[in-house]
Amino acid sequence: MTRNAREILLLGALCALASPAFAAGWQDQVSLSGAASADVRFNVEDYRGAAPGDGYNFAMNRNDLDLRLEVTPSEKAIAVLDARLRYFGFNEATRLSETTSRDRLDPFSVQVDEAFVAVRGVPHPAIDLKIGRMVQTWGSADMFNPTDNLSSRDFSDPVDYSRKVPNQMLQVDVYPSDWLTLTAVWVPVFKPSQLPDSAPLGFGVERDAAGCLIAAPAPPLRDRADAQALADLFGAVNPCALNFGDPEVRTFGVGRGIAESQAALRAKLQLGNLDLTLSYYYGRFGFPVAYTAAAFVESSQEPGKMDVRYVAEVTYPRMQVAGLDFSYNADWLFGLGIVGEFALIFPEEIVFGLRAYQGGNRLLEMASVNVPSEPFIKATLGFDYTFTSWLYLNAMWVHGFFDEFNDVFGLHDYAVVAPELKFLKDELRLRLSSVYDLTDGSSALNPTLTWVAVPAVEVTLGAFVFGGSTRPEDPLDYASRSKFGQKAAGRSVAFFKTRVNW
Amino acid sequence: MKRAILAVLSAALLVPGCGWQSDGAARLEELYPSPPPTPPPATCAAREKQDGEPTGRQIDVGDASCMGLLQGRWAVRLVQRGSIAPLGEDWDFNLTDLFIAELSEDKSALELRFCEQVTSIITGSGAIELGETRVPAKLKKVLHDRPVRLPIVDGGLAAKDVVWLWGLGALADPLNDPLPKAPQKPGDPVDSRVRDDDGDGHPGVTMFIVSPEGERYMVRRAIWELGKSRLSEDSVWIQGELGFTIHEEALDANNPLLKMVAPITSGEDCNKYELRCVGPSYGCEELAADFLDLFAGAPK
Repeated sequence: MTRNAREILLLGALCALASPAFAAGWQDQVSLSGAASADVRFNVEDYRGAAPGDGYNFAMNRNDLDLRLEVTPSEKAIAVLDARLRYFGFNEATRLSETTSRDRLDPFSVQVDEAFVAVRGVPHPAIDLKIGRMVQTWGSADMFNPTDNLSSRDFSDPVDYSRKVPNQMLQVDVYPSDWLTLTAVWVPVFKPSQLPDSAPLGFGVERDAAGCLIAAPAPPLRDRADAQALADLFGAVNPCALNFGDPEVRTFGVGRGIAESQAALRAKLQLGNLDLTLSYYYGRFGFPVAYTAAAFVESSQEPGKMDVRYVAEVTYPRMQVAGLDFSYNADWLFGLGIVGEFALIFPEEIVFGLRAYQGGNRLLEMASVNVPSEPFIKATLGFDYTFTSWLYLNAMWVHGFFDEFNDVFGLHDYAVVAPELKFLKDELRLRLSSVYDLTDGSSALNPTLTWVAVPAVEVTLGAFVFGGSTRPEDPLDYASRSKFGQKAAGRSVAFFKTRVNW
Repeated sequence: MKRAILAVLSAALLVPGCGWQSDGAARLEELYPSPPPTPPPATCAAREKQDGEPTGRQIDVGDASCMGLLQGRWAVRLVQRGSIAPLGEDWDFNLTDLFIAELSEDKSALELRFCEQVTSIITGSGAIELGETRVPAKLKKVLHDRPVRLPIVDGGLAAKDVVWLWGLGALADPLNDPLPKAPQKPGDPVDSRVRDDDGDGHPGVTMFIVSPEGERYMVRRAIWELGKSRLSEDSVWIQGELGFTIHEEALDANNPLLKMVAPITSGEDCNKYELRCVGPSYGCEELAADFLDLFAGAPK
């Protein structure tokens, strides 16, 4: 049975379970919810793609059908299945023979975000168990949660940045008192974050229209003399004489041993208007950091040219995280909501290794600490406030973005501001989310205008726009890349979405 | 329960990072193991092998007739071995200059007419092309037409401070004057001592570099010291020890990185000059093609 066939069967089963006929005797025990959505996006620039001039075209043409089934066979048990049928909307047939295949003409996938069973009060009235495929979200802040490390991020859709990669896990919740909740989670097998399509551009070289090398990304070398020596090696060669292939970037280092499991503990205290959480995490960082790189220069079959093959590895560093987060509703200060989140991270030291070969001879060998072993802090501090019935503001200071791990790039500071204005009895919502990198001056703006056409039906018009230079200030300095300006961050798009929920 | 949690957190704080480390350099060694280190050539014979292996064929040198340095025509090679460090690490550097020599009209000197220069660079893991040079045909002809004179003393060769200049006019002190450097900025005049020997419009002489590929416009000075020569009994071979110093300066290049020259450090051992008696029809073309086989038969 093909993968697609299995996926369709799974979704079919979900629909069948939810059908009125099946549910006739189960009406009190089965609930089905879901959404159908369409999402069309357009690249509004032509300089952030892999090649200059690629732009002003459709970036996405997607349809989703989300279905969530909850079955409660008894008061103490619940089973949840949350799945999505996704049509990507772009023809992938590149050969005439493939145009006979609907899968290639209209590609789709089935994704299961949740499939778990939860049992309440077992084996003790103060204990809940949950096992299966799910997603964990820890922390008090909105989105920027340095203590939230169990479920890796799903950035495959840069505009939908709240998604996560689901994983199989076991969760135990204990309620010793009404003000204290203890949670323990064990994730047997680590899954890394899903990166956007633009991620490989972080390793890509740039060529001009004639195919001549313009720029190559700097490796994470702390010693400038090393970076200069490497640049000299390739700078010595006529840039038009280099056939620089696309870099081959591999992931390395995540095994399936028990020591590779993730585990976390959390104590959540409710003390009046203050929710305070202490947490501990053992596992890996969900985003990759540069680990090795090797360049191979060989004489090309084309006379006067040289072929360059670049093979790199990234790894997911191990870490322990001690976390503290809180949310506080300050009634005495006009009901201002305050959140804070601090993660003290004890990282694995990552030493970046680099070699260059010509004709099988090693020309260069370098090593540089990419992630030092010293503990570091990631933090978020912010507030939210409802000024009037039509104006709400959420603002945060963030130290260390999702993918930052105190490597040679460092930890940047960010200002996150998201005012929301509501009009026409909440039928029209204007949200102006934005993130400013206070360290390098780049930005990401995400304005959206949502119209609730009829209850449960939303139409959204919006944009996601990156600001900042696509080129590093200093081509030899890994840290001088602009956070949101660099091409790896993604494309600037305008989008139009419609969604109906039930 | 609270105590238990605090104990776990405290324990975690006491074992920062568990001493974890992932070493990318070690990983590269695992992926691309280094060959066992090649010991430096212990003998001159081993070093000679770096130039390439003779094929073993017999070389026809024509109707060779020499009588010491009183008459005859000679194929000459000057073997100069040293080191070079274009990327910081010392690599073996071998340079062989090939000439055809005849007596001067007054028979007081041997006149060496340049034929070819062969360079090789050997790293710990083998020969590489980085920094390897080729002498363009135009320059070969200029050097050929301007012979180097080696004085004949007591019927043999023994000379100090033989200076061979490329791309340079008169130097006040040819042995010690610093070589002219590249103009500091575009438009500045080139040092008046620089001569466009090969007449190609570029200052000094033009040398082709194999890798990084390009042309370097440069001046060069070689200083030789020839030890007392030994004549073989059959009067076919003349040999002796050689000392050398090479200075080079890049004046410009068509590839920015070639504007820097890695200095050549002369080695103490294994440098020699060898002359092989050849017939009047044996010329540069033959010598450039045959030299490994031709000199393979030299007395050891």
